[in-house]
Amino acid sequence: MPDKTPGAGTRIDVKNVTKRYAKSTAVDDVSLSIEPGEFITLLGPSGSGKTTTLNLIAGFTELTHGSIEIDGQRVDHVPAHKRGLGVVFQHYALFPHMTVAENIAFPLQQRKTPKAAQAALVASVLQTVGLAGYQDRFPKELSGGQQQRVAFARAMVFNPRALLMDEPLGALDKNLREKLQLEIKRIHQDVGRTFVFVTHDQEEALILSDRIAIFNNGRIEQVGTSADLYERPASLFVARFMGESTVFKAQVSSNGSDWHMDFHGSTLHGPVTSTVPGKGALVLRPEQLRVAESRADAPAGSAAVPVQVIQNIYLGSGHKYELRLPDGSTGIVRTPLTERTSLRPGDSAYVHWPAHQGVLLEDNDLVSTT
Amino acid sequence: MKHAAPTRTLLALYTAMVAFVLIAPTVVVIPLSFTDKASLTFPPSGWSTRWYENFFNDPAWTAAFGNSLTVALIVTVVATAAGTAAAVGVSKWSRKRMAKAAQMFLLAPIVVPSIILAIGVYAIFLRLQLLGTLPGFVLAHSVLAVPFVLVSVSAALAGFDDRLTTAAASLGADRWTTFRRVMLPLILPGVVSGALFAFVTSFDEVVLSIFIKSPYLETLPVKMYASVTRDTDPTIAAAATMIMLLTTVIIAVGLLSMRRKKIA
Ligand SMILES: Nc1ncnc2c1ncn2[C@@H]1O[C@H](COP(=O)(O)OP(=O)(O)OP(=O)(O)O)[C@@H](O)[C@H]1O
Ligand SMILES: [Mg+2]
Repeated sequence: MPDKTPGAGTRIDVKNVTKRYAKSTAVDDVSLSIEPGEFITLLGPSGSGKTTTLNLIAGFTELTHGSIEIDGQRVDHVPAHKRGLGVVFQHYALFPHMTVAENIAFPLQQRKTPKAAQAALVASVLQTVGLAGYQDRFPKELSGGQQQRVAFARAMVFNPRALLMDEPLGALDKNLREKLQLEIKRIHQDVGRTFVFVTHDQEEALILSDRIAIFNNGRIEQVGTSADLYERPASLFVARFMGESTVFKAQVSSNGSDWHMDFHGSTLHGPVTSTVPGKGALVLRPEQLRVAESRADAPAGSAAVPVQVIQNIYLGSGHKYELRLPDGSTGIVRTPLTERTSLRPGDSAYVHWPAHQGVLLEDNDLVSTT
Repeated sequence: MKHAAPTRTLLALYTAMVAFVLIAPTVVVIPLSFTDKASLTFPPSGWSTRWYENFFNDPAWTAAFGNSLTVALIVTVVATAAGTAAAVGVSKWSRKRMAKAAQMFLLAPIVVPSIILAIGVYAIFLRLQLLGTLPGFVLAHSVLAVPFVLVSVSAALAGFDDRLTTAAASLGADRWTTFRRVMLPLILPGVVSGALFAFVTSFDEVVLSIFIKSPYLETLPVKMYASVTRDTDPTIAAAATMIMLLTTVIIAVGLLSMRRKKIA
């Protein structure tokens, strides 16, 4: 078993790394500092450069510019087999001609671990992943979930400096995926190693990670805790990628202490906290919004925008409204059961919120909906 | 496809006929080798094993047989190593156009008429004083055998998941270890069948061998060719029968072992 010294993780610094291919730039000037013992997730849509970044750290791909440091030492020219990192692949990559025990012992043999110690380590790691008794099976005699556990055991058994995982649960069904997510989280807490995890599943990232790096188009848009990303998104892309949101877009003006926007006749405003964009997008989360049948029902001083109800869905725990905004875009509101309304699809209503709430971001959408 | 009974019978008859035409000339050699007369007349009028005795008692025949075995065994090793390395190299070449060209180049010996190859090899070997030497035979036969190894190993590599190499690297294995412990075991059926083809290619080779032999070193097929042009002695039928048996057994074993691997 990897030793259980808490915080015995490794620090990884990705510094201004670029990876260019003949026809595209897969990773574009990415910098990321991964703290010792941290569980960090690289999250982003397909083709955003997550796998390429992981492969650059692992040493499977050569970088075009920049540098990568592991515990302060440059490793860009160290071959993969000397980096001492464990890697778990989406496709398992178990050696089909070796038994489970042989697969797991493979990294130990490379490190010339004594035979007796190998056997003990294999047995112990199989215990950890819940596969005791399976050591003599061949990979094809295991289910997908069991194969992924073996792959996980194999990548862990030699006590790697950090564990890199590229969508390790992507090929599994939902139930199994949720079960393994919890196991991965438990193992991370037990061993205290640095884990770098790649996924395009936002929910998976929320469950597992200490911090999340949001990738878009080969760049990192924002790095932060789930709460940072949800409550203080740095860009419209992050806001939309992390959960549901309602976006009000308009030109913004500022008097130094407050900003204002005229959204189709409704004046929205808030305090200036950072650079005020010219074309603004005010982002509000579904829980921050409320629905009222008339303007008068909204509390005084709150911001309100007229809308049309598309759907009013009863969820048991509350209501979810889908609303048509004056600019044609869709808004989403979630209210607790205590704030019941009798609004039906097609009804006119007001969406409102305490005026200071919401995050004002730059509207950098290529095609504007206004 | 299901055929009506009469069609099936016709098809079977036709197949049998084709097989007969293809195999008959070869099979004729077997009774000829057991004739009691000192001539190659078919069918033989009486039976004996004297030509086999003659083969094993004549030092010229046994020496040629020994040479063929030695050459073929060394060629098997050389061509299998070279052909496997070439196949792996070509498969890893990231510039696919170049890789394709290199592969074509390596396969050329199969396509080029062997007589042309023979003249070229003769001219070069004359200069390098390799005519009639063991290294000369090994080199010349290897050129012919490598393409067979290349083809069968390439086919095996097509079914090899290259991501396993990446996985092995992440687990601390260098390239050589990765080849030995991960790639080789998985492409072994292709390597083994390549090796068998290499052996058979060398063991049967006539045209090149006639050009590069010397009175001191000749292989079995060369000796047979010389013998049939000089004295039509049925010993060559005995030799031919044994070659046929050996190559058939080798190829059959190879094919069967590959089949078993696939099923497993
Ligand atoms: N070997 C390669 N040659 C050329 N382009 C590549 C190569 N590998 C990746 N790319 C390109 O780089 C970009 C990033 O790819 P990458 O695999 O890192 O994305 P990803 O975020 O992992 O996506 P996914 O979620 O689909 O796995 C893509 O546009 C891809 O086409
Ligand atoms: Mg990927």
